[in-house]
Amino acid sequence: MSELLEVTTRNIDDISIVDVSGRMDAATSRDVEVALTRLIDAGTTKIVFNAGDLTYISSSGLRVILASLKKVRQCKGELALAALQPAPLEVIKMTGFDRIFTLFETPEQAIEKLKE
Amino acid sequence: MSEPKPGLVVRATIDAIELVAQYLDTTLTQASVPMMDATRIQLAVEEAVTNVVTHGYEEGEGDVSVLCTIEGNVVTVIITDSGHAFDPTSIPPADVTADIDHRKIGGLGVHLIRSVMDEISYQRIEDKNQFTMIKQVSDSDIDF
Repeated sequence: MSELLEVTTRNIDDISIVDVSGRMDAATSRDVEVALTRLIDAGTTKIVFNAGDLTYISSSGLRVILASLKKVRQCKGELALAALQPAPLEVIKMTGFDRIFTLFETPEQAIEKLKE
Repeated sequence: MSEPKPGLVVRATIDAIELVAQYLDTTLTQASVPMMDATRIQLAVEEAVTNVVTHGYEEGEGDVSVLCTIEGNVVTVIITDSGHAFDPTSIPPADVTADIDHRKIGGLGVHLIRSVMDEISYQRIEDKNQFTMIKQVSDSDIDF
């Protein structure tokens, strides 16, 4: 895994929280893709993408999260974005991804919503 | 027109992404460009360089050069490569209002470039692509 990006996964009940820290760019986004794909292929349908320590995302990163969102929604699931920092949030809004994804201020809020 | 002096010249492979990011970080930090503006410039340049890496050459065949200059509050980045002729300014805008079923990633990179930079221009000069992006950055460190 790149030093510029760290991805860890944890679970609360049937919800997986993917904590992403660092940069999601053309070189590093593959690591996030691997983690998300692994979860979805294992049957996870509720995912919180915790972007609290994500400092940067480019279109390569957007590709990864969009592909994962499509897959989980095909299984009637959800992938929520939480705690987006100013720079990645700006990219999400510039590209209209805030109309496609559900955004939460904190991972805890996202988890509560997905429990419903 | 004289050839621009290259600031960074690297092989146009995925490894270029991090090298370009480091070059820009150093250059923009030394010039005290505010953080959010620096991040926006990083984003635009990464999108442009990724286009070269992905589409410019047959795998690993060529170089890409990135030159970042700052004059007053104006940051200019010139990206040059000798790959296939490719004009980023001719890419149609991405539909950022499309719903999830109709969403495409194609075109988002150029959309982001257009959104964060003030001016973009392209020239094909003697078998080279030259893509120029310009941004006027803010004076203050308070971006948001």
